[in-house]
Amino acid sequence: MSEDASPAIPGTPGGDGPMDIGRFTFTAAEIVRFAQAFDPQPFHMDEAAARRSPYGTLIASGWQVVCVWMGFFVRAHPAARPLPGAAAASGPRVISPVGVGFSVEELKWLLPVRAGDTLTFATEVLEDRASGSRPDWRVYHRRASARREDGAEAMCFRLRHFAPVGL
Amino acid sequence: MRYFETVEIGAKEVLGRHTFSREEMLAFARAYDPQPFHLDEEAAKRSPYGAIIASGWHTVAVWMKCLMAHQQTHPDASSGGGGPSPGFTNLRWLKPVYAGDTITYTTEVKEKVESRSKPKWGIVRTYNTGTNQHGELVMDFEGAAFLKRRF
Repeated sequence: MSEDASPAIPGTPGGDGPMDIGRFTFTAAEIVRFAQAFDPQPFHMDEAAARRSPYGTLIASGWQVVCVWMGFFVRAHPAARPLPGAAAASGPRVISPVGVGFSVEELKWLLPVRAGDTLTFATEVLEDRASGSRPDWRVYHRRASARREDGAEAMCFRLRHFAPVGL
Repeated sequence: MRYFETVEIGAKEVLGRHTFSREEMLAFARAYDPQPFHLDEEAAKRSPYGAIIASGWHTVAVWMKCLMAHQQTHPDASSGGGGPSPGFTNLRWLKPVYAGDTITYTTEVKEKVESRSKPKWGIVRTYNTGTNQHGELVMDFEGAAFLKRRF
């Protein structure tokens, strides 16, 4: 465990490996709603068309699986939670809890995510170092994943981002 | 219907343009990236960006939306897509996207690979971009998609 790693950032390096950040059931309604907005392919939109597709059932857009991971990643940070009562009126205490992404090196959609599937989302810090340009920020190299109930990974990617520490 | 064989390496297409409204940026951020600098005007003022910016995942999701709209209106387009995608590599977020910015999305065919495991399919690799109204590249990535072969 590196001494200066921020405990506030989910999935600290050298810890117990991947940290679970949430579980989400991809209902048909959620799959269709996302697809209508961003990925209107018949096998994401229409049960009958999906039955005739190679998948045989409605499947979620791969982009939806990534976006759900991001939502859990942000909400896993304690500073992302709203402040109680009067403190909430003074505005958020942290502007950028998990920071800003630079790049995703490799994203893999490994398995179709079918209507009714529940995925568990996880993250792990592979490496972190001090930011050269911003004091009190660190640069993170992180692995993200989503696995089915049977343990099989449906999606994974590696992300580089920088984020404030010690908040 | 597009087939692996008819896709030309080097073919570049403008997929479409999208103007990011404040309302849609907030709706996306509330659902998928609820960081204050994407959601809260006062917080964003204190950030290095000075105003609310779109989630990077939002700017990529709109590339997908534009690809789908383009393929519907140009069924013979040679852009990648048409089948499932195994994933992508080297996605970069290079510049912030502000409310009111108009992003132009493109795709270019870089490589065609015959699939060994799926003989009825080929893989088309693409280079994809989003550029703002000032001509600045805001995001790019290398995509891949399976495309049916013509036999």
